[in-house]
Amino acid sequence: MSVVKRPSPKAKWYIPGILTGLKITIKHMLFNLASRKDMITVQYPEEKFQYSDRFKGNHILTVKKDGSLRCTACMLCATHCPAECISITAAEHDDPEVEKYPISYEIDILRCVFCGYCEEACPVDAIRMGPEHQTAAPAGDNFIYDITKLAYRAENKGGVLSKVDDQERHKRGL
Amino acid sequence: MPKLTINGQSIEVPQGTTVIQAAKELNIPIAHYCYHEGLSIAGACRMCLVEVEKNPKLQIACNLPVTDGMVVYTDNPRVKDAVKWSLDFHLINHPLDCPICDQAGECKLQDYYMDYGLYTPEMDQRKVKKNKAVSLGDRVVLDQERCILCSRCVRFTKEVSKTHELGIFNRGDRSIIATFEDRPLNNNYSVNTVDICPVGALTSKDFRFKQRVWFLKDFDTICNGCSTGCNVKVSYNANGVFRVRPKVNKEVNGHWMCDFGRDIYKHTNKEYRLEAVVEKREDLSGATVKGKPVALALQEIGKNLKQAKNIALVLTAQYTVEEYEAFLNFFVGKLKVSSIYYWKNNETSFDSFDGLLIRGDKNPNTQGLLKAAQKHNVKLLPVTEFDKSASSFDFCILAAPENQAVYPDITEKCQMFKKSNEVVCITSCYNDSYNGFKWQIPAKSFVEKDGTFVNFKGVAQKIKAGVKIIPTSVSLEEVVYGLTESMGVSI
Amino acid sequence: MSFLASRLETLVFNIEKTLHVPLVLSEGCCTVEIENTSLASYDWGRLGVSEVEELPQEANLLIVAGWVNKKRSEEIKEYYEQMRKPTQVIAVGSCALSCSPYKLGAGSEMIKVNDLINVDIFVPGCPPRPEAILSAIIELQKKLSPGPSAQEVLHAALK
Repeated sequence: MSVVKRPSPKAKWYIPGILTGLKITIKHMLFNLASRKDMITVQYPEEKFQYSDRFKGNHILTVKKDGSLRCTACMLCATHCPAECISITAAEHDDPEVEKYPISYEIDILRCVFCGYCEEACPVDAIRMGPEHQTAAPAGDNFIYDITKLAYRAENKGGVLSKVDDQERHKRGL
Repeated sequence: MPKLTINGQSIEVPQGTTVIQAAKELNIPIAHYCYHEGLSIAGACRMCLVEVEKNPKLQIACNLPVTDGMVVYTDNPRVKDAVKWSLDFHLINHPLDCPICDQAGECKLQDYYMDYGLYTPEMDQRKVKKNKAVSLGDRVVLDQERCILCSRCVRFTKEVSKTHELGIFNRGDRSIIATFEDRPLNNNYSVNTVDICPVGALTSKDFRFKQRVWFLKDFDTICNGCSTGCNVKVSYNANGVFRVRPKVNKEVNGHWMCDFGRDIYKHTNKEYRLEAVVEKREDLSGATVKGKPVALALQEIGKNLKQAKNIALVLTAQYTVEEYEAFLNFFVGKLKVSSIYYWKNNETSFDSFDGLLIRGDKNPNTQGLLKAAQKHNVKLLPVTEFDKSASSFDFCILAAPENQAVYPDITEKCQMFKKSNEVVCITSCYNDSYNGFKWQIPAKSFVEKDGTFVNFKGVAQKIKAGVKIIPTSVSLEEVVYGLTESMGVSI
Repeated sequence: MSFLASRLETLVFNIEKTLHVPLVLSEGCCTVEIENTSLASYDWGRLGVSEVEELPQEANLLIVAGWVNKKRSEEIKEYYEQMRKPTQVIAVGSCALSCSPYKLGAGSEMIKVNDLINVDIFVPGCPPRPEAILSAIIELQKKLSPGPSAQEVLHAALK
């Protein structure tokens, strides 16, 4: 049985309620004036919130030491993608050690759900979810990210190296 | 007739059957790499080990003839352990190339590793490095590291194509498959070695890296490359058709098909197809209009056809029996057309045969056309005679070939057809030679329609529509239906 | 007098242009992010967005989020037509932008917002972070008044 609590006689007079609310507001205002550090509001364009390293932001295609893509176009990311936003066209590489490489790698950023399955599925650490959160763009912008945008955009500073060193692995005979 | 028991199930088989064949009849899987039904027995891979009662050692099922009262076990722990170690020996020098290997998804190594694999390998030596991406010929690429030396491809060139190009060279773990220096693998059946390769060592240059196999679906149909009528599997997805592989039919093609048949998928894909009706304007400009609905076009054709006095039909043997039936029923039965021409692909090499599968008659349904003509009491005139009375025809209907690659004389023949007043060309493929014609109607290719092909022996085989590539395209039956509607003729 | 009136009109127009009165039509997880953006921690009031309006006649900024099926599309269209002109539209999240991860094509009930009404700003993300929604409002202001913003002018002067 639900018991309805009757409002106390004090609450019948609205002025104490209003004053309680104002007290909280003014308290916060004074605190914020005194020390801006403790203010919880993030002043977005000037200051940015620090996300964790595991944040799933825009994709990065990692590169090898010579600057070419690590991706071998195995299409496991495209296979596992629940949103079907990845499309890859593979081609034969001149170097028989590399053999297969993508001539086009496109992610439809409007379809992507940032689940990170592509990162999980990748056997060669070629795709990662980067630290940059998504930014809005006006209609008519290009929302299909290609290799230039994914691997060599300005934030990546000429390409992100993978921690896995292929030459070292080949030397050890793995 | 000896009787044997495999895993408690007994079966009676003819004398000389091997255990692996008997097990196949009982649907008991036995792992194997080197054994292939179409080839001789090698006994090289040691994967098909089975336990036979009263026999102290495990035996290979592929080379063990059945004897009466034999009791065989394929799934007890002793057999599984042996298969596991056999597989691990195969994997010692096998690189982990699966991400870039075209065979991944249909690879026997992957399949058996999931069934029997030793998941903690005990090998601590380095893998032997061999050559990668070695071009063996015009159509096949070899990766020597991935090869497990089952010797299926070597036996194929020895026994089926009888060209002896491949061999196993060197010894031990340095053994490789290779060709002799001046003799590349360039026979007409070379891509069959890719099909029978149980791993990704041999890959087809044409299909290489085009698609991953798990994105593809298969459907069964009949090859329209020549009059042999090989049974094939066509792999396709939303982007089109990607490859053709043989399907086993012991009466027609056995396990194999030729390399020319592998290219037939190309003329079904969008980039080679006529996508919409093309109409040439009547006025002086001669400009072409594209994209008229087929039904409207057929209505206009029907109007002109009603007024036409002298109609000619040109047929090629690339359409199905049902289509010929509808076509001849309408034009011969109703419109009383008598000048019907039969366009052969190549008069000189028409009856040639290479002894295995390839025939000079590059049409899938020559017998079907001849039979349909016989049924309607029509005399098929050779197309060379068209020239004599070309200008007297005020209407010509051309059922153009689907596989244009085997018709080298298209341009010169089209010049001949242009002499008649109005030409309606029903074609699935685009060709510049057709540009002078009044009408071009997009036809269905053989992967998009149902029907029957009759091969050179007279064996009738069904083809099934498996994929839709050009949605506006029509079959000859639908053309006839459209014409009857517009002309008010009933059949 | 007419000069003063026209000046006043320009002033009112400019104020109206920079004052966004939002109407939020949101489903699913994007709602949480939009709420978060509007409240104290990200506070879109700093960028000139007023409190969320309930009456479409009062609002001039439509924020759409979440899946749009046939039934909901009628509702959105109805709201959009009643809104104050010129109406700006921000579409938030993968569901609204591309119906992902739902299948499109035959038999699908899903509709992209851009096919329904004219979307000005796309905010990709599933769901997008509050920063992305704030950046959408900045983009919108850039679109409405091209050239450097007052903030940028101030920063340049301070440097």
